[in-house]
Amino acid sequence: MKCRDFETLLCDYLDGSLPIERRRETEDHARTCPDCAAALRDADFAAAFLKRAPAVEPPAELLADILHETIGIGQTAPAMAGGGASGFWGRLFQPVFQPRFVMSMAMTVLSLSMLTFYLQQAAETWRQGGASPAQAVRSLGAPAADLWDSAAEVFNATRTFYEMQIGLGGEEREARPSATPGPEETDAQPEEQP
Amino acid sequence: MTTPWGIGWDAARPVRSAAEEAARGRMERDAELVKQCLSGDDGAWEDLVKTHTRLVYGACYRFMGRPEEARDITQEVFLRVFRSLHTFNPASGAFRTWLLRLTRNLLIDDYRRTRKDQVVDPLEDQLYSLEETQGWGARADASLNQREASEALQRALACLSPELREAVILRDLQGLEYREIGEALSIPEGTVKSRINRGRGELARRLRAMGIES
Repeated sequence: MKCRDFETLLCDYLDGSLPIERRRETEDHARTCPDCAAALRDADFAAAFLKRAPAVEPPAELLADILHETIGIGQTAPAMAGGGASGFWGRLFQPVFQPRFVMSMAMTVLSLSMLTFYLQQAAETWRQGGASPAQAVRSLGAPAADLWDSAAEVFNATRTFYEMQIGLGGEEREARPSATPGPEETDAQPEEQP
Repeated sequence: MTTPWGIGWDAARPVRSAAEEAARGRMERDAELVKQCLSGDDGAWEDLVKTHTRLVYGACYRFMGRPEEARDITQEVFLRVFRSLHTFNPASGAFRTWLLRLTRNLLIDDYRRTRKDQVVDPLEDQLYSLEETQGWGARADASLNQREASEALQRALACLSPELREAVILRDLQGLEYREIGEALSIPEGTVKSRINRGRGELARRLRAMGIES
């Protein structure tokens, strides 16, 4: 056996996958060649050291971040060829169905409705004569303010409820990756958190 | 019984067929998940990511030695996979190999971008090795705790050229078959083994320079 052949067989020798004849030839060569014997010692030492190296565990939030970046931002699944209709529409309108957006839209609609209603009332009062437009608007002040205060109270209570719900959802998402079993076969060695 | 140079006979055990079986099973499972992803199944995508996050992150972390950047590259890898999954052809190879090729390309791009910072002056390198030797003392690798072993390994790996480093990481830390490594790196199996031999040899010399003995 030549040194070149020895190098070719070294990996398989250390794996233990060489047929017995080739294994003997490899060992015979190492007995007579100091350089190849040293190469064998080095490779065996390094392979053993690497084998004992602790497995690297990805950060807990990495999986959630990847999923958020890929399917959590309104994009369709990688398919792009058919995807479920409900999934597509759900993701398409996902930003619109966020609680904060819905609440803001509801408050805007309520404000516009109240403004329209009271302006109509003021215009009616002014049209029937007597009061100036400013007086007509001022005459509606007290009931309008009461109604506005009530609406604001309901809005604040609902907002508090949604904020609590969002907070609970966030905690659940943070806990999720750690509850997910590891993807690869488990290693008996302790795992490392770099 | 041991050989004259200290390698145990009983260390040799045929594991190839079991590994090949496992690889085939993984390949079929991945191909099925990819198919489901391409039909719009978000759950299959989540399973695919879960299955391979550890492999990709582990390779990135060991190659770069910097957790934050390894995390960023891992995210970038899966983002690219997500965008280009329709181009994956199961008939041309395993998904894992395709994924590792993509990972490798990003790692090499990053290495080239940051190469200037990673060039070590030979004299500085020698002083570093001397400091390490004095700091660790002459110790058997079995006496190192997990953190010390991991730090020593990371420092030794950082001294290898990217070609040797990636081959050693994929074989000895990620447990890939030579064939898989060859496909991922687009090199023949013989070259894979040659790089692993040279990488292990260099690694052993670096570890000994740190005072770590077998």
